[in-house]
Amino acid sequence: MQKKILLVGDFGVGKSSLVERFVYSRFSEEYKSTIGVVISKKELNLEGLVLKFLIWDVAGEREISEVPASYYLGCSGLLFVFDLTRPETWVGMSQRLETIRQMSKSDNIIVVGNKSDLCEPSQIEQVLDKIGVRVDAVTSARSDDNVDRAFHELGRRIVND
Amino acid sequence: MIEKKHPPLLSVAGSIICRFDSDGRITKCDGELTKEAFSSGNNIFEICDFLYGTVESLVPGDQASLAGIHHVFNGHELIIDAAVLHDDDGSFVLMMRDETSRYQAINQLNQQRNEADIMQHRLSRQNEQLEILKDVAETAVRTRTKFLATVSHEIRTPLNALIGFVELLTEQELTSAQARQVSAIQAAGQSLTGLLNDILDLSKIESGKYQIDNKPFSLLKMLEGTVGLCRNLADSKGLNLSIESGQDIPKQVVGDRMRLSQVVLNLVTNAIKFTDRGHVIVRVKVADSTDTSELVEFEVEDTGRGIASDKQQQIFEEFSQNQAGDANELGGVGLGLAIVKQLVNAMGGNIEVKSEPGRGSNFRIRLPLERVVEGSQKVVRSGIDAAGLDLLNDIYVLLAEDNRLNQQYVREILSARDCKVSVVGSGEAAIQVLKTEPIDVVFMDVLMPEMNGDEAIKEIRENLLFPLNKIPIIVLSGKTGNDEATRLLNLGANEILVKPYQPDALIRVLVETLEKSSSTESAEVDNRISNDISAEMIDIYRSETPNYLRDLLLALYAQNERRFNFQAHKMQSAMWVMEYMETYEILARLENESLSFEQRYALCEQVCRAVENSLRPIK
Repeated sequence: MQKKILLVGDFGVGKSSLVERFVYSRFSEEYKSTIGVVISKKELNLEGLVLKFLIWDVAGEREISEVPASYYLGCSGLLFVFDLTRPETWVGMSQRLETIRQMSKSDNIIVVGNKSDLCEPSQIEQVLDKIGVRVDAVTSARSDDNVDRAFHELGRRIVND
Repeated sequence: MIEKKHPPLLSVAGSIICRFDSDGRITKCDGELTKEAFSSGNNIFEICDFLYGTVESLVPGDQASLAGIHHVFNGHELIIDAAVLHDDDGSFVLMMRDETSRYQAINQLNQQRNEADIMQHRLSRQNEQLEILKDVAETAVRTRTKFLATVSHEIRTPLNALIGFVELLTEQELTSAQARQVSAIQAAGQSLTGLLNDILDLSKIESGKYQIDNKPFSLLKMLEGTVGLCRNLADSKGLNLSIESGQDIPKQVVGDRMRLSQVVLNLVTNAIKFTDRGHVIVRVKVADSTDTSELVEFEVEDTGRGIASDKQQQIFEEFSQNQAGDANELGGVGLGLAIVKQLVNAMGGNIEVKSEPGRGSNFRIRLPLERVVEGSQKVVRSGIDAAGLDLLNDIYVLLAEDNRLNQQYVREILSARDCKVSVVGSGEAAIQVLKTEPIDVVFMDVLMPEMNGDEAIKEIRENLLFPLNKIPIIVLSGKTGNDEATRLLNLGANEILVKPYQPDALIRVLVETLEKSSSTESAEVDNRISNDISAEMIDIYRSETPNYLRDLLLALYAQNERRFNFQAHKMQSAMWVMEYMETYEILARLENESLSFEQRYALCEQVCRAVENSLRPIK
C-alpha cells in the first residue's frame, strides 16, 4: 500500500533532517534550505502490513498558506513540524493546523516538536504547556529520538483511517 | 487550487510534453530529453513516481501544477516544474520543464536569507542569555557589596574600640614587654583595618560607586605628607627615602588628593616592603602640559627584589603577589596594586612598571591634572595647625553613642584636648541636651535605640529653632560608601567619620567642622556697613548673636524666667545697635511682658527667623 505524506512547518525546523534520519538513518549539522519539494520513499512494516511512504518534504514557507495547493493533492497524512527552541515556529499553531486540515482535507496530522536535544526537559515541558495544542511527538533528528515513532504513528493513523 | 480551464499546451524548448491514456501508458511524447528521460518505463508512474496520489486525485477537466520537484532521471537529479492535466476523454497530459539552474539560484538566495534569520535568532537568544547572566552578575555584586558593607560595620565598631584603647595604652607608662605586646596588637589592628579598607575600596570600585572628587590641592604638600607617613618604616629598614620634584610642578592642581595620596602611599609602602637595602625615591615632574592642565608623571623607584618580566602584568590583578616570588612572608593579600591601577584609571591616568629581578622596580604613573591659577582658589589644608587646635579650647561636645566602649574612647580623646563632653545614648536624649546645654558640636552615632541618628538629625534640622537647628553634626558611621555618605549629608550631617578611626582623625574632622561653621561668608549684615555701623561691629554681631540666641532658647526650654529675661535683654541692645528695630521690639516684649510658654515660643520663633535672615549669605 503506497501513501503520500507531507512534511510541513517553518523553515529550519528540521523537516529535511527528520526525513534524512527516517529514510537514510543519517544526520548532517549543515543546514540546507529546501526548495520546492524533495520526494523520498520509505517502507514501513506496521505489524505485518507493509506501507510505502512517498514522503513530500515541502520547503518551509513563512506562511503555511503559501504552500501550493497542488502539493496536498492525494495526500494521506502530514507531519507538522515545529522547533522547540523557536517560539515563532509554534505560535498560533491551532490556526495553522486548521489551515492545513482545510487544504489537505486530511485529519491525519501528527504534530512534532523537533530539536529536543537542544532543550532541558523542563524547558520542553514549558513549551508544551504554552502551545495549547496536543503535541504527538517530541523528536530529535540529531540524536534520533522518537523519529521512527513519529512516522510510524502517522502510518498507523493512515491505516486506521 | 485546481484550475478548471486547460492552459494551451505549448512545446517549449527544454520541456517535455507527454500524453498518456487513461491507463497511464504513453501515447505521445515530445521534447529534447524525451528518450533519456523516459527510458525507465512507459507508464506515467514508472516515469514520474512523484505523480502518485496527485494523478489519482484529478477528475476529468482538472489540472495540477507542481513546482520545484526534485526528481532523478537516469541518475541525474533535476528540479522540475510539472503540470498534469486530466483531459475530458480520460487521458492525461504531462508537461515538465527543467528549472534546476533557476531553483539553484533561488535556493542560494533563500539559503542566505534563512541563515541570516537563524543567525539573528541565535544572536537574540545569546543576548537574552547574556542579559540573564548580567542580571545574575549584578545581583551577585550588589549582594557582595551589601554583605561587605554590613560586615565592615560589624567589624569596624569593635575594631574602633580596640585600636582606640590600644592607642591610649601607648600613651601610658608601660614595661618594655607590655610595650612590645601593645605594639603587636596595634600592628595587627592596623593590618586588619587596612585589609578591610582594601576590600571595601575594591568592592566600591567594582560596583561603580567610586566617585573621584576633584578639588584643588598642593601636589608637593600631598607628596610630602604621604611620603612622610612612610618615613619611620623606611628608617627602620635603613632605607633612604626621598622626594625629587621637577621645577615646573604647579603649586596647586585640581584632583582627588585623597585617592592620589592613597595610590602613592600604596606604591611607597610596597617599595619599602620589598626593599632590604638601598633607596626608595619618589619623583614627580610635568611630562606634558596644555594651557590649563598638566600631565604629571609620578615615579616610585626602589632598589628592591624586583619583579620577573612574566609577572609584571599579573601584579595588577586582584589577589596576586608576585614580587620576586612568594610574598606571603611580608603580609598582604594582593589587593593593593589592583586598587592602585583601578584608582589611577578612574582618575584618567595610567600606570606601568619596569623591573628586573634583583635590581629593583620603577612604577610610573601618568595623570592629567588641572592647574589652579594662583589666587583663584582657596588653599586646602592638609593638616591641623595650632590655630585649628585652638578652636577646640573650651568647646562643648555632645556625643550621642550607645556603645559604652566607644563612648569612653571618644570621651578620653576629647577630654585630653580640654573639650567638655556630654554623653547620651540615644537621639532623643541628644535633642533634650541640645535644648538645655550650650552645645557647640554633636558627634552622632547612626544606630542607636529609641531614636536613631537619622531620626535625630532630621528632628534637629527640621524642628529646632535657629540657631539650634544649625548645630554642626558629625556622624560616626560604621558603614562606608558614597551612597551612605550622600544619604547622611542629605539628611543634614556636616561631616562623616567612618569607624574605626584614630584619635587624630577624630580631632581633624572636629577642627575642620568647627572651621567651616565659623567661616566668614558674606552675609546680609555686610550690606549694612554705613557711617553708624562699622565692619567690626558686623563681625561682632555675626559671631556673638547666634550664641545669644542659643542661650535665649535654652532658657526658654528650661523655663528659667530669670535667665530668659536676662538673655532677651542682652539681645535687645545688639538689635538696637544694628538697627533691627522690629526684632528689638519683640525682644522687649519677651523681657517685659508676662507671657505663657507658648506665647514666648511663638515670639522666639520670629526672633530666630529674623536673626537667621540677617546672617544668611548674600546671593
